Parts: sequence; structure tokens; C-alpha cells
Amino acid sequence: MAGWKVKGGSGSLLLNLILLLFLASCFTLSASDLAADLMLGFNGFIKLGSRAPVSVSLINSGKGISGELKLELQQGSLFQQELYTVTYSRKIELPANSRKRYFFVLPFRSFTLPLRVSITSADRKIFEREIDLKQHFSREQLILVLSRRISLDFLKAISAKPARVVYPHPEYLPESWCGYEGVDLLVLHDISLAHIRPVQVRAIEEWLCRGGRLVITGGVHILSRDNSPIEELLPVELLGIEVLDRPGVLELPEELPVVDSRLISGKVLFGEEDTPLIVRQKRGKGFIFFMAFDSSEASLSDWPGKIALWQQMVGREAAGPYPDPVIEEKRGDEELLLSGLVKNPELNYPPHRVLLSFLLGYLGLQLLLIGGPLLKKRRPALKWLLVIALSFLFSASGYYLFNQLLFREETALISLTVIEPSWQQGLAEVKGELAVISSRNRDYQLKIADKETAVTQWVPGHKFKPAYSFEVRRQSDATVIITRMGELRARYFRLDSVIDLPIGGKIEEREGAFTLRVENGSSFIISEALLVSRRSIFKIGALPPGVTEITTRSPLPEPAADGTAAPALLLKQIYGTNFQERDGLETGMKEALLESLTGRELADIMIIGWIREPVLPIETEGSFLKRQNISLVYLPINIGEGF
Amino acid sequence: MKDPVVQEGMQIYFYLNRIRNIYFHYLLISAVILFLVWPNQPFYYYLDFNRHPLSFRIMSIATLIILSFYSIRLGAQIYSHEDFHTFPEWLNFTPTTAAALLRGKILLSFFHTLFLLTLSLPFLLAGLSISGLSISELCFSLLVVFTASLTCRIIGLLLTAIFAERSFLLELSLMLSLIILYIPPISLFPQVSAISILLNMDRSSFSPVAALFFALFLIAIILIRVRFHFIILKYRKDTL
Repeated sequence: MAGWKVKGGSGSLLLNLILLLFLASCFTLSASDLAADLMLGFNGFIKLGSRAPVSVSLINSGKGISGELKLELQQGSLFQQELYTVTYSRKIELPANSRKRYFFVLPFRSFTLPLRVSITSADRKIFEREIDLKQHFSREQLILVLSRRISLDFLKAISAKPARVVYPHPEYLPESWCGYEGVDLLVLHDISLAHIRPVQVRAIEEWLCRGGRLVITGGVHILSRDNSPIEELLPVELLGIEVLDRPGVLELPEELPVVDSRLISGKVLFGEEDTPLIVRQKRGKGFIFFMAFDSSEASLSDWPGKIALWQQMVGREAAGPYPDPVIEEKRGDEELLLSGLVKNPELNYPPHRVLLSFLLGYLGLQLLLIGGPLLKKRRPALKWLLVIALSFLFSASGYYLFNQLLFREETALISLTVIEPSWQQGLAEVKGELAVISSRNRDYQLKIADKETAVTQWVPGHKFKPAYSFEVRRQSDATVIITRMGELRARYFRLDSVIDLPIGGKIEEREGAFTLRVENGSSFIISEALLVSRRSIFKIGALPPGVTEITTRSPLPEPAADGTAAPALLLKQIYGTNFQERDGLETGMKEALLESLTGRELADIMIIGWIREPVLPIETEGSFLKRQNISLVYLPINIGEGF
Repeated sequence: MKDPVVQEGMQIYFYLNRIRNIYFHYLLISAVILFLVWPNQPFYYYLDFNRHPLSFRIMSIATLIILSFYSIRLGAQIYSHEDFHTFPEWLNFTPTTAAALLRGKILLSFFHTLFLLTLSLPFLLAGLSISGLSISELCFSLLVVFTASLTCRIIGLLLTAIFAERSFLLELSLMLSLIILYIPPISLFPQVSAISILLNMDRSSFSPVAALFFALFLIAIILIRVRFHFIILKYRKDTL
């Protein structure tokens, strides 16, 4: 499989295209009338421990096929024999002589076991193949470049850590934000993106909201009309091409063609007269950089600021959400916020006094029959038949009493989420935990009303071998988790998503008075909201949909220079008094969510509140008698940055 | 009941006070264990909060151990030694043949073990639902307990056929048999350990356990038959 050894920079675009075709041909999964091409990750590279896209192209040269496409990943510890299977599936419809492509995003935590691909039609497997993952993994930083030519290979050398520069075809870009999880930098290098789909642009926006970094560089092709799909991503309005004569800011002794533009929002890092040359715009937790020139041009090859500039744009160190898959498997129970709550079960077992009455009744009657005077002398056979009949009678009544009559609470569904809105994009990052607690060994379907929600399972440290397998079925408008409880009482899932939630806030000063203005463009009410700085806390109350303004002449809660009091601890102190007065599951859930803020890097000034309605609505199949959900809203307030 | 061996056993098992006391003890111990392992008991509940209460599993294992203990001793006629006819008496002074005696003892053991298991059924069913298990798991558990207990009963029968006159050796061999049958396999051969499969409710492991107990059952029967042959030979030799 020499074709997989992409070294980036040692070939041409043509070579890469040939390589791409070779890769696809390597995975041609032939069947009689059905063939499948698989594209794993980005040009075959997957960053260890992160989610990556997988595209499956199906070519049907026979009759129409209706069935289910399944991708099965084995996860867990191979050495501890705690493996479980996660199945990602979706319905497929392939008319006669047709070709379709299906996109998945899979969490690749381990490469020791193969990926299984299968197609089932009418309860019969018509296609099955295993893909060895070992040759696809990479530990390097991943830089994606969409470009017409291979000219940014110097990016491999800008980071202290080894980096890999990959030039994927825009057609294979993920349709979900989580497909970019392992990507450290995405560069749109003077390219026309006429065929990029809106869903792919949306995925990039959502990825930016969660901390992604995007660089758009200038050139002739960026001005193409075909580039309208990515206009939303630009922090500037493009005006045309301008030639700068020896731009001083770039210390360049010759002319440089640049894209003339007008700033929409963000910060101009470098500019020449009225022309922004490098613009940085914050989007959620991520950044977009616009570079008005093509830094790969020969005239800029000796520019001393080039490396520093790219280093700033790459920013963070390469790190996936799972730094080490081995460590992930060994995490303790305390890692999950919900585990503390589940210790206090929501399912009530029949009380001991009822059991005692049952036992005394049975023992007493048997004592009378076996040892007592009852039927002692007469009809001994009848006596022993009665003993047996009494056993059966109490067996049936015991089953009915403790199953149907007293133990009716079958299941509970508990969800906790932390929501971090980004006003600029009208999006919000949602990180949640979900627990299904059940007294039955049966299947449950949880339909999350958002198809882009990424689902991973949290596995507690067990000395037994439990059945942790589950299925994630992708539907047109929802993500469906299908889980079997087996012998487990509780199963936990982590949910990650980006949703539309336009909520923002700012503080204005007018004539000595400070006005906090919060615009809640969602349909949710944020209750018990607080304005928190490192030093002080103001109670705001409820923030209903619409605009809420609170004016005060008190001094603003200024950020403390030393940052002594940790916000999470401060919050616990405030809410702690109330927590002690109130008891129950909701209190525990709030405590757990506040606890999750500890250790995080928080904004200097922020609003914290609660949403009781389900932000990620979950439909359930089965009798869920108890459902409890609460979301913590964490809204950073940036002074001076308006809506 | 025409079979004199079964008839004798029925008379003893259902009318002798010592045996009836065993039923009371058996019921009382089972009831106390169920009460202790009922959920919300802190001593085991927090060991593994992610699992269903282990009430049913513990109850099944307790039933297995108690029933095996009583079965092996009942098989060895420990509680009613003087009330039963001895094997030489059956074989040498009655028209009962060795095969008929063996058949009668097996039949008696089968039905009496079934009766004892029926007595504990209410405890098992009470703990079933709260442990997140279904009737199929109950059937599996009953099958394991019954198979193991019946085998213990036949082993008891074999040991009393061998050590009938030596009560100390009989007691010692009974206890050793029980220990060997249940304790070492838990760690050494978990796939054939009745306790392990009841704890894990691992239905796939039933076949090895069933095979082991069936093999023991057959070996014990063959050995009993051989022993009966020697008893008859010895009597003939002594009388000639």
C-alpha cells in the first residue's frame, strides 16, 4: 500500500489526483452488481483519537436496492476484553444503474481493530468488507488546504510539532462540524469553490464556533462569482484587485498584487493605507483570518514575517478531544458529571416492610402446613399438595406484587447540557451528557432532533464484561441512538452539537449609568441569570425571549487583576445556600453543571443562567416515566464589542 | 407409589420431624438472605451503581449453596440414617434388585430436589423484577440450581454407599466434595463454575456446566452400581 504514503510537497497536484484515484481503487468493494468506494478521513489520513469523515460511494449496476448501510467500529479495551461495537447506520435507496455517496463521521479512538462496512437488504447481507485502519492513522498536526496547486507545503515546518499538509478535494469535505475535529487549520488558498455545498459551508461555520481556525488567502480566483457560497465566511467585502507598490508593512521592495477589500467586522492586523492586508475575525471560539495576498508567491518567499504570521494563524497545539485513547478508557467514574446523580437512584424499589410482610406470610403459612396441626393426621397427601400449591401461589403473587404493583417506574432519562452561545454567528456550542436508567433489559430508541449531534459513549470502569454496544442511526432530521440495557442499570452518552441559538449581551455606559443589554433571540427563557465577574456577582433574574435591559449606577463588576476567586467556586458559594435548602435531583444537576465550569478558562465578565426546556429535544420510544433535563447557559460578555 | 424404595423415602422425607425441621431452616435462611439483599442495602448497593441490584443473583447462588448442602447430606442419609434400610439390607434381604434400588433412589432424589426447589421459588420470583431480569433468566437459574443439586444428591448417595459404616470419613468426604465442586472452579475454571455463571447470568456458559454435572452424575451412578455389586458379592461370600 505504498500509495498511502503521502508526503505532501514532493509531487504535483496531478500526482495527488492519481493518488486519490488509487486510494479509491484500493477500497473498491466489489459485489456482483454493487460496488463501493470508501474515502477515509482526509485523503486517507485520520488523526488518532478524533472524529473524521468517511464517505461511501455506492455504484449499483443492477436492480434497485433498498436497504441499510452500516459502518461498525469496535471500541473499548482489547487487553481487558471490554470491546463493544458502535454501529453507524442509515437507510439507502439505490435505483437501478445509479450512483450515490453517503457521508459519515466516525470517532476513531483506536486503530487496532478494523472498520466493518456492510449493506443489508431484506434482512440479507448483500455486501460486507473489513477495512484495516492501522495504515491510516496519524499523530501529526493536520492542515487542510483547498488549493488549485500544491504550494503551501512550507506549512509543515511552521509548527514545533510535526505537521501534515493535505490537499483534499472540496467534494469530500465533511458535511458536519465534527468531521473537522482533528483539523488544526483549514486554508482556502485562492480557490473558486463553485461546487461546495451549503451544508459543507454550514459545517465549517459550526466548526469555527467550536474553536476551528480558517485562513482565506487572496488571489484572482477568490473574486470569482462562483465563490458566493463562502461569502458568509469572509470578514471583508471584496472589491477587486489592487497592486501595491512596495508595501512597507510587508517590507517588500517590489510590487505586490493584493485583493482590495472593505472590513465588515474583525480586526485589521496589517494594512496598507485603506487596504486591509490581514484581518482577524473571532467566530465563537474560533478565528477567521483573511489574507489579501498569496503568501506562497515567489516575491514573498523571503518575507521574514511569513512564518510568524502562519504560526499565529495555526495557534493552538494539536490536540484532539481524546488526548490518549488508553487514558480515555481508564477514566474514573468521577469524570462524568451524571455519575454522581445516578448514585441516588430515581427508580424506587419496593420497601422492606412490604417484603417483610410477604416473607412472614409465606413462612407462617408453610409453618402451619408443614409443622403445625393443620391436616396433620388426615389426608397427608393433600397436605403436601397444599405445601406445593402455596409455593406456587406465593411465587405468582410475589412476581405480581414486586413487578407490577410496586415497581412501576421503568425508566428515567436525565440530561445535562452546557450551552455557550456565540452572538456573531447566532450559533451555540452544546456539550451534554445523557443517562438512561432502566429496570428492564430491553431496547430503547432516543431520537435527538438534530442530525449533526455527535454521540459518544462513556464507559465506567468495570470488572465485569458488560454489553456496551449501541447504534447511531442517521435520519434526515435526527440522530437516533438505539441502545440495549442488558444487565446494566444505567448507560451514559456524551452529546456534542452546534445549534441555532442567537443570544448575546453587551454592557454600555451612558452618562455614568451602566446598561446591560441582553438580546435573547431564542424561544427559551433563561432563568435565575447572574452577571458574573471574577470579583462580584449581580443577580439579573429571568431573561425571556426578546431584549432585556438593566441599568445601574453601581460600578461595573470589573475583572480582578489578580484573578483570585475562581468563578466556579464563587458561584457555588452563591448557589450553595439555596442548594442546602432545596434537595433533589435538580439541585444535584445544577451543582454538577457548575462543577463543570471549574478548571475552565472563563471570560472576565459573563452571564450564567438556566434553561429548563430541552435545548436538544429528545423523543423517546418506550415508557420513560421520569424525564429531567436542565441546561447551563454560559454567555461571555465582551465589553466594547456590539451585536 | 408401588416402588418400595420411593415409598420409604416419601415416608421419611415428609413425616420425619428432623427432615421437616430442615425445610423450616431452608425457608428461614432463604427469607433472611432475600431480606438482606433487597435493594437499598448499603453493603452491596454502592459497589457498582451502574448495575441492577444483585438480589436475584445472590438469591440464586444462596439457593444453590443451601440446596447443595442439604442435598448432599440428604443423599447420604445423614439426617435419617437409622430410618432408612441400608443398601445391604435392600440388596440381600429384599427382592429388590440393584437396578431397581438405583432407579428408586434416583427417582426419589429427583422429586425431592424438585420439591425443595419449589419451596424457594417465591424468594427467587420476588427478587427477579427488581434485578432487571426476566422469566427466561429465572428458568436458566432454576435449571442450573436443579442440575447441580441433583448431582450433589447422587454424590451423597455414592459416598454413603462407600463410607456407610465410617461416619467421620463420610462427613469429611461430603464437605470436601462440596468445597471441591464449588470453590476452586470460581477462579480456576470459571467456565464450568455454577456460581460464576449464576453471578454473570451467562447463558452461553450453561453447556460446559451442564456437561460437567452430567458427567459427574453418570460417574456417580456407575460407581454406585459397582458398589452395589460388591455389596452383593460380599454377602454371598460371607454366607457361603
